[in-house]
Amino acid sequence: MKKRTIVYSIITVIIIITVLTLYAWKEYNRKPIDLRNTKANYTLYTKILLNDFSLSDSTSNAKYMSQIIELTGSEYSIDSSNKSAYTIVLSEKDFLISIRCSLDSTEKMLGILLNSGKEITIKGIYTGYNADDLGLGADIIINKCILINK
Amino acid sequence: MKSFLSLFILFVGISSIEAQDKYYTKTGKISINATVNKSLENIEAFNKTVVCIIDTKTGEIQFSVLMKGFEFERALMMEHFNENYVESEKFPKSVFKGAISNHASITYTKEGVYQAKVKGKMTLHGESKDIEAEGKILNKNGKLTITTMFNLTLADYKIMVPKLVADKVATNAKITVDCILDPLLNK
Repeated sequence: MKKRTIVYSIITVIIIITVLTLYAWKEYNRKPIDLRNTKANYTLYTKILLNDFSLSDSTSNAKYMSQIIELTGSEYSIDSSNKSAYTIVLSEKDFLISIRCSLDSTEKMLGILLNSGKEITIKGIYTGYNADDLGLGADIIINKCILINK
Repeated sequence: MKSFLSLFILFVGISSIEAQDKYYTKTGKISINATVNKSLENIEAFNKTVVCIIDTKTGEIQFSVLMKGFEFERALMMEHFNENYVESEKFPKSVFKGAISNHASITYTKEGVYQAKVKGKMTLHGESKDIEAEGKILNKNGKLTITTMFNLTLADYKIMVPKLVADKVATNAKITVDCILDPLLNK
């Protein structure tokens, strides 16, 4: 009886250590969120997001921080000044703020976008707000962006 | 009519000279490397939404970096960086304000590679410290490319590394800056 108890105890300890090790290993190697397979927390038109930040940048900053946002807009330009970091700049008439969507390095659809000239949808993670401290205009920063083909 | 045209050309000429005193980017790149020597664990992150502006008239230079914009290969490292080390929610930005100390030796109107010495104040994690760094300014095709590499002591900015991982995170992080600046027009 005593021998059986010892064996069971050893097996239990081994199982616990194995499970903890596997969990730690999985957690350690966990990759950053894959936006292609993750649902957005907010699905908005650019005008709505710009309006939110125009009303209160601090409230909106807290609301959207680290959230996944899917944005649709038709007025945009492409900042290609850094060839390794393309950025799509979404804007709207009557707003002094722009939304800068830094494309994920895996995003390969930029060529299609350049030729479409249509409304676009972008999904990314809200990273922060750059107020117009340097005289360069205020920007809403969205990172790791991917283009959604609708 | 002729004199009006000359005046107009002169005015446009002066405006364009003035407009090109400043160069800027919003897509600058900064990487942090806090890998311990000979360690297999690579602790590296990059941020490609760095804002940088330089005034070629005065030599003043500024950088602004959103801490949440740093991207890591592993999610856990990114979480620890934001929550435990730099406390991004509390201190969302890192800012450098300074000037090029050998500004007079750089000819911004002539293409070439120039050595630059920068002195200024770096604010990170709510702490401000004077720093000095050396780098290069490449003036080519109407753009300025600024590159530099320097070390930053984490303790100077009250960034504490837990004892449990002290042997895995370097006490001095290597910072690499690579920004391509365009002339600031119509601003």
